[in-house]
Amino acid sequence: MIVDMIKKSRVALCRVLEAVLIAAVFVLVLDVLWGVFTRYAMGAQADWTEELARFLLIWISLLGGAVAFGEKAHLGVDYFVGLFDTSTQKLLAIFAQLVVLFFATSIFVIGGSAVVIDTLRMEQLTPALGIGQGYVYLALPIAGVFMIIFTVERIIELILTDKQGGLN
Amino acid sequence: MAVTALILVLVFVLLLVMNVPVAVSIAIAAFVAILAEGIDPSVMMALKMANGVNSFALLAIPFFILSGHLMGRGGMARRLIDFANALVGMLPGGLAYVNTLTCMLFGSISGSAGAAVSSVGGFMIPEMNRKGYGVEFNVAVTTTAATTGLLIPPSNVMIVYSVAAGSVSISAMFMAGVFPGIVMGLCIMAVCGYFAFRNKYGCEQRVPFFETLVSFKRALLSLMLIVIVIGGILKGIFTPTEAAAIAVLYSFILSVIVYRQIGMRQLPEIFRQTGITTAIVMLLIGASSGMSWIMTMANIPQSVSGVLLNLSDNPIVILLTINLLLLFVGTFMDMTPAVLIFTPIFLPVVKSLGMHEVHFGIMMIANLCIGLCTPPVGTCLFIGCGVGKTTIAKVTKTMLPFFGAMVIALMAITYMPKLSLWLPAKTNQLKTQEVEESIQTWNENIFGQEIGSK
Repeated sequence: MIVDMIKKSRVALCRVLEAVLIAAVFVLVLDVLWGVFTRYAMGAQADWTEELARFLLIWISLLGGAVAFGEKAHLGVDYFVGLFDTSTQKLLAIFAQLVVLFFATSIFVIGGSAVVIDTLRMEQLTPALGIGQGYVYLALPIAGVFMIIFTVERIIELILTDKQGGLN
Repeated sequence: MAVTALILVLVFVLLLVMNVPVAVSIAIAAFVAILAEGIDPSVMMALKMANGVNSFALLAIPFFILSGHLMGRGGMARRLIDFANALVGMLPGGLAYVNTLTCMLFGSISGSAGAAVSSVGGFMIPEMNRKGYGVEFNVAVTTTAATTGLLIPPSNVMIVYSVAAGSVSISAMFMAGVFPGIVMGLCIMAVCGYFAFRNKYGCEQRVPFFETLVSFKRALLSLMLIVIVIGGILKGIFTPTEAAAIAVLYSFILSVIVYRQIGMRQLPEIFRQTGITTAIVMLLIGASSGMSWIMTMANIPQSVSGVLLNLSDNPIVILLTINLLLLFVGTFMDMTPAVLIFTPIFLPVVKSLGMHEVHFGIMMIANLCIGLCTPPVGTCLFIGCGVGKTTIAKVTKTMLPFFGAMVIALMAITYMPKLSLWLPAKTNQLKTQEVEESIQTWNENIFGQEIGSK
């Protein structure tokens, strides 16, 4: 039951996140092509295209990074863990998830929020687009929250499957 | 200072061995090390994770991934195979050469060694099985040949290296990879020739001249992608990032409009995949930028230089040591994280030997290509065994001569700087004088005073 509910909420969350990710990739392609086009067809490149492209890359990297945690798509070295028996493997997997949880909380949520608050308070504006630099960094805490959700869900899944045996 | 270094290495290795994702292992190791230096690690690492990827050069990576997805799906593998077959199919053991050549082309265009194994291997391995080639041999050829696409431009790992090494010219890296990639391919073909002779593999029918032209025409539209990207960069029309965006446009027109192999409905899924694959690489880059920051703070590259240069004052021995270390790392670590972690450590060492940074980058990538095919962890090997429906244990023995060939290619790449540096100098991506000076220092260091003083 609980596992089902978690799984459903994860699917829904993932969908929102993925929609943003897909849109960002799409806009990124158009943006850089527009930059090339304006340079050749109009003589001068619109200066906001490069800045927007870099900001989109930050958002894609951080939000996409969160999605990748949800899909267990990040690169790891699973060779050494595979040498242990299954119950030790499960403990190690839970430990690894706790490390990810610490990573998401301390760097992305705590560190990220501090960065966002600081840059917004200093009213630092980006040179070409003139938006607050803090909004660029907003991707940090947002990605962090998603990472936490996916990781907690994974830990619960790991603990529950341990008791029920073989459900994975 | 030494304590920081020790903490960094210990935490990193410990987390890595426990199967914590590599990006997280790097970030947490840097986090703890920064803490040990008495700096607030949360804010520092958060800034590094975001600003480490805040670069226009890195934007080429999602575009090459996307154009690879667009080109790779559908019939490109088949068209390239037909073309390669017309060129080399009539030789004894022809299909092995066809496979190698196709993997080189496909790997270059798609930018992904894994995609080359699954797309080219998915067609060639069953076909070769049917024609009586040994399945282990077929998997070994495909797996090793696919990695050459990482040396033949365009190549994302070269962009990663350029950023990790601190603004090395991407265009120069692209040019530098061409001959090393071809040498690697030829070495693999030489092993194919040996197997073909020993096992008396047959030849394909000679393709008539007219049909050769037809197959060339059909492959041409796919091959044009390389021409557009490389030509555009060399002529100074586009930056590598812009060239990559044009590659996306071109592959979109080709796959969606001309060949109609991809429908509009499949595009969101392709974009999603691109976003995730990009993010995996970018998270590694962000975390590594934090790690290399603290490594510089703690003087780690200098310490490693000191140790290596104490070991021997012979550059041949030092480069051999670095190559052996990288080969070892490559057996269980993927290419991108290995490049990101070891570039800042080894680059100062080899630079003090007079090695050019572009040459070192190519050597490192060629080295780590081998690691993609070796057990216990080899991405290409895993995919190859999956496609060929065989096991790593069965394939490994047949792989050995191929590893030998790749190591020979690696040695040639390591000890012949001109192999990498000639083309970028010739195409004005590197200054000729800079290259000549670098090669001269290199020769003096390797062969001693008597040759250098002439």
